[in-house]
Amino acid sequence: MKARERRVLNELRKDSRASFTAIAANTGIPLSTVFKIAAKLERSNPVRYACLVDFEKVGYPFRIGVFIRADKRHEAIEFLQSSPSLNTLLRLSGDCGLYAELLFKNMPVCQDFLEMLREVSGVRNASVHFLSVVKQEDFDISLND
Amino acid sequence: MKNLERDLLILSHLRRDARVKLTKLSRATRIPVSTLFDKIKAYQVQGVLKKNASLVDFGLLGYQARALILLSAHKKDRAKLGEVLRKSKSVNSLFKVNNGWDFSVEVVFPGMKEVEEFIEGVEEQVSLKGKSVFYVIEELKREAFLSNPALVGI
Repeated sequence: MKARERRVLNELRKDSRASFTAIAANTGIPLSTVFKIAAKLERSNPVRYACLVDFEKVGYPFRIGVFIRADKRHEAIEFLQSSPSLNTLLRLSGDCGLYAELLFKNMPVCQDFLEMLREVSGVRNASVHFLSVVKQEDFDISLND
Repeated sequence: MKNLERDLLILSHLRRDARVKLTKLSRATRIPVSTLFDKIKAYQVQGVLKKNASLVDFGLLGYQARALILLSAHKKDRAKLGEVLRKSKSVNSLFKVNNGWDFSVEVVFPGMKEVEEFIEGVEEQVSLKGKSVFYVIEELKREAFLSNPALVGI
């Protein structure tokens, strides 16, 4: 990726609702070029623009990260992907095959979910951590320039 | 937030596509554009809406190593560890955690060698009590919670 493309993408990483005019002003790249770069980025690198929300403020204070070792990995993945509580799901290297980040309104709902997960997918081990956000989506794309 | 369900509906549209035009959002939610504009501003001021992010495929950008790292430090070093991680531009996401660990860190690098160098760099600055590294093989879902407007209110 060219340096200009990285700079435009980095601006969109900081604020995906930024106008192309603002991006052109911040980067010194001509507006017409910003348009072309943005269109190219959407074609070549599937970008999804998503707002990050403080879920505690909208009634979901329990954010957990679960490292999962399951005998039936496919069943675990299916169960997790069907859950509206799921935020992020990753396949990991090594013994711990899956990582899931989930959000709940309260502890009983969270506990019930974890029990169902264990029953459904033969989970051998699930290490649960309560998460408190410090920063998100902060990686600087322009680092290598 | 007075009408929580309405707010969740607006937020779920923005979670699905943060660049959605207000006119399109107005048609989808049947909320006037002016109201949407005021609401989104209010979400930002109240800290409900923290950031309009762009989620990219780091692999396609040349960053082949993405890792989740659990870290713990002695009590006296915890604040410094947090500061080191917070300032690092290679840290994509950072959470404080419990259950025997202090931080969960998501890092992005061109290769595994750089991940190892990053951890060594942290250890040079802060004495770590524990570390556990998991490399991400595949991302199955990302920022999916509350991103389907059809499920709001169910």
